[in-house]
Amino acid sequence: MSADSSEMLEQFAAETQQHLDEIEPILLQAEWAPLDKAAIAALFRGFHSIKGLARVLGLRGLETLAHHAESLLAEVRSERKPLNAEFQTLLLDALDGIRSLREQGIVGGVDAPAPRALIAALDAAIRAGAQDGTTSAAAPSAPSAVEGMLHDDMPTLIYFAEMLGECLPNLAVLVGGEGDSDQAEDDLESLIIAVERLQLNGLRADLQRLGDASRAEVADCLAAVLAKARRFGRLIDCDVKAEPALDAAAEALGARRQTLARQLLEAMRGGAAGAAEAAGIARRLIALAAAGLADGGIAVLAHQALDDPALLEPALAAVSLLASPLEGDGTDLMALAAERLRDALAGPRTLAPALAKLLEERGVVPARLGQIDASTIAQLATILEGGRRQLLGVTVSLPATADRAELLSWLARRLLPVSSQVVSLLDIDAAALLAVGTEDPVALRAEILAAFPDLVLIEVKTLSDQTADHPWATPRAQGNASVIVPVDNQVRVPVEILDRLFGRIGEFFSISSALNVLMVDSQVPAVLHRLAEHVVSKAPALLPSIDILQRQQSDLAQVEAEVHRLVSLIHEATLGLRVIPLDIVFNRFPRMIREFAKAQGKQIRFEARAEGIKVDKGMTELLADPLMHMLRNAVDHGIEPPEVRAVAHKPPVASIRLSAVQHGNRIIVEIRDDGRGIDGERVRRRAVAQGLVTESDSLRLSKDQIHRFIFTPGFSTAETATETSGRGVGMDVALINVSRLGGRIDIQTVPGQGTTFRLDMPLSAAMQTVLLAETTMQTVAFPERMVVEASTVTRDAVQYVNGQRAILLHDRFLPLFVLTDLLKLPIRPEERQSRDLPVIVVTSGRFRYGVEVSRILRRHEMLIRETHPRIAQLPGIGGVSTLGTDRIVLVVDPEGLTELALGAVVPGMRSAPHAAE
Amino acid sequence: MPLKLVLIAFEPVLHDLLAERLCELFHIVGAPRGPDEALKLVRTIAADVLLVDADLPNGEAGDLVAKLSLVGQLPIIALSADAAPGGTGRAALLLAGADAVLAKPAGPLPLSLDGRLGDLLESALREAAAA
Repeated sequence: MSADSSEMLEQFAAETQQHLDEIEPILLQAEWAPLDKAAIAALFRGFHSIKGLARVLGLRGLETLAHHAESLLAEVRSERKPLNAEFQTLLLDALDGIRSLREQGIVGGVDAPAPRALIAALDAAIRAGAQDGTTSAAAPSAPSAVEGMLHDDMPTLIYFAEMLGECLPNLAVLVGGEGDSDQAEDDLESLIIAVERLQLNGLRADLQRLGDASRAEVADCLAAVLAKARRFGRLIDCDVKAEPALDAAAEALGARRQTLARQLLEAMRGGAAGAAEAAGIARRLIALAAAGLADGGIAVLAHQALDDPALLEPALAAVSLLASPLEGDGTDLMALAAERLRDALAGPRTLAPALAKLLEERGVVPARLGQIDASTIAQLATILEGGRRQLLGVTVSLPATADRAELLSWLARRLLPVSSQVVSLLDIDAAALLAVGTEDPVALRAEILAAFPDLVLIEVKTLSDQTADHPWATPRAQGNASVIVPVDNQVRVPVEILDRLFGRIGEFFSISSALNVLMVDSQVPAVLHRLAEHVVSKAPALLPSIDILQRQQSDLAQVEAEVHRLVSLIHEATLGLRVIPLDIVFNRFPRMIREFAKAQGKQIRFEARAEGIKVDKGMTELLADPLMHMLRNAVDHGIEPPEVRAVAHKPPVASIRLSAVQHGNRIIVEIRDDGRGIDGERVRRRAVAQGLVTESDSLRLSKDQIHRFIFTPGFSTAETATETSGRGVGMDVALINVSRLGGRIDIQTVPGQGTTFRLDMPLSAAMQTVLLAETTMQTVAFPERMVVEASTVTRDAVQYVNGQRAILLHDRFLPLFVLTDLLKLPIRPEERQSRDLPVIVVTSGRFRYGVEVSRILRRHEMLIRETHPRIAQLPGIGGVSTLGTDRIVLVVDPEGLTELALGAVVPGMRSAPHAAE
Repeated sequence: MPLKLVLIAFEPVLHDLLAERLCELFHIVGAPRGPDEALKLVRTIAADVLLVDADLPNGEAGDLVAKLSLVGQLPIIALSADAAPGGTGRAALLLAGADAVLAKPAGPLPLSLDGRLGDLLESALREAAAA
């Protein structure tokens, strides 16, 4: 293979991979929510691009398959067919087929044929419904296929637009404008013939009316024709040149508006008796506005104001402007009057800043709620009153048509929703309601299920800061598959090259840090100072030399500081280069869950939300495995089979939610399922059976401690191993990897209701700010987030409270532990006798305690290196790093150290830590 | 003789709710399920009034109303969640050719048509047909 063709192949591999990565998450998203136009266009574009790339390499099989997928999407894009579950599966199959053909093309240079059965299935899907005449199997690019076109012959429509442009100005003579009336009649006739052919029957009726109109009606009829002509032009995106026609007829139309406005004023003053008449006149005024006669929007506003007597005064004021000739064009005055009327109509429609902010925090976009009127605002504003009022999102599947009304009106009465809409989940119609209430979601869910036990799907949640995945969020936040817009000004760099660069910059940074340590720890300035003092009295002749040394030392310090600053900046910037969207990891899972769920006969609604968070590439590598294991576990052990769910009165469709949120420099990843929860007793018994703990000890463990046995290597409660999990491999890997990232895993589980695994990790695992301290033999780094303060107390200050060493700090007893005791580090005994006692006060969770070290060094930015799993497993140690070039530093794991400290608390003090808060 | 109504609501759930509420008072002569079908039907059908749900998942609500007013001659009542008084949504529908616009009270799916909204709907349809 020539260099050129190998380069082409590389390019093909990279670009097709990118399209495949874009297509799959969008397709999977379609399972739960209808795709918008942009998403369907992105799918279409993806398959289309793959087709083009395959053609360039002569991979006919791949080209054929991509073409068929593209053609099916063309049907969807033009709204001739919906993207239903059958199409989704077909397209996913096509995607798999494309992957396989692509692989064969790249690895073996083979142009394998497209699978026949798949092509036949795609063909059948494309052709389905074409015979009944309601749809056509046109080629993807045929413009006539656009749904809802006024006519299927676009050139004829454009020709008609040009014809309107020529004829309309000539019609002004019918209302007394200048021109040839014979010409006008000819033009009118031509237009009528044309619209008959185009079957624009509404416009035809108006044109015929214009031809037959009496003098009194003719202006209204012309306005109606102009209005429809303008709409026609806008719909087919062609200029029908309505302006010249409007100008030619301006005088007559303006006069007509005055007359109509005067009639409207009279009818409005006539009260209820004139109501019907007023509405009719207002509609004629609207037609004049639609024809292009500027009125600042007064006509449409007046039409709306007719029903409300309270609006009579501003409405009269606005309409009276139209009733009299205005100086100049009067647009300013009309706009002012319209504005006043608009305000009066709308009432207090603006959201208070606090409410707007709260909605924004909950991911609610006001525009997606429907109409925001005063009552909606009042209802939403009650959340601001505090207490337990919250935004509740309730989604329930809809039963058969005949039973819907009962369910919907029950929900309306019970919840008084702010907004309701239909959503489609797994091809099931559901109603999504947004309400304000104090209900506990679990209790509300139970209440709804008690009233309607046959619901297939139900979800009740509080819209908290972390949920942006609801129908009232921006479309971008709703899906995990945001459409990726290709950007031209990007350079594709293989990650290996970046990694090499990062490696070197990392080394450079380490050396710079070593230099910094040398400078900071340097004894030179102090020695020079003492030397200078000595020289002044004993050898003044050497003073200039000392001066030179001091100056150079100072210059060196300055240059070093500048170098360190710049290297840090470069390092920081490269860390930024390494970040990639967490979506890349999350997007692997929907398909996996779908397959696992299918294999086990479970129906699972899986949602993954990465909220656009970007993380270090190293972090994604370490996270992918833990998440996969935990999700497999959720499918396998968490989610019950449908029959078990039915017995427990749970909807058959289960839910697994994978979400990530960023809090400052930490990232919280949650895996939440609504399955059976962890059976603590069963875990305890298995732990005893597997010899992990004795029966008697196990009975003393807290629930949380028992749950944590699932992270023990080889632990499994499953009686039989399945294809996906149950072999006791996985959760330990999850814990190790998360520990390596400097994070921790918490478990929250409610029997029968589900389990949440919460992974809490520092966002930039690579760089951490730490407080350096020393034991007698080892340098130890305390991550800054756990340090409350560093202090030195005298050894005499140590007291014993119920046998527990403690110091009195800020009027509180603080339990005190020796770091070397907790971490079981070796010590040189003689060093522990100094009078001063350096203490680092640390906190984790609700426990605050003191850690005794030999010496407190300084705050430091540290690059935490990947840790060997064996070290990561050491209790209390989260990682290692180096200081300068040779000093190895142990990095403390805050939660691990705290667990050790809690274990070491003398029993009498057990209640003290919380009391100390 | 009940008035003849063309009901255009592409969202099936809302379509069924509307049909259930209106079927006893009006003779529903057409209920197209897509824009093409709607335009084809409205070109030819003999009816008294047209009710259209203007909350379309894709596209401008005003466009469908404008097309319907170009191809057909029926009075058009538009139903919309974005039709707060004084708002731009309502104005767009009126300028596009709707004879009247009714606001859905809370979001695109009215949960019940038994109350005020149902009554308003009924009277608006009757008035438009009479005019």
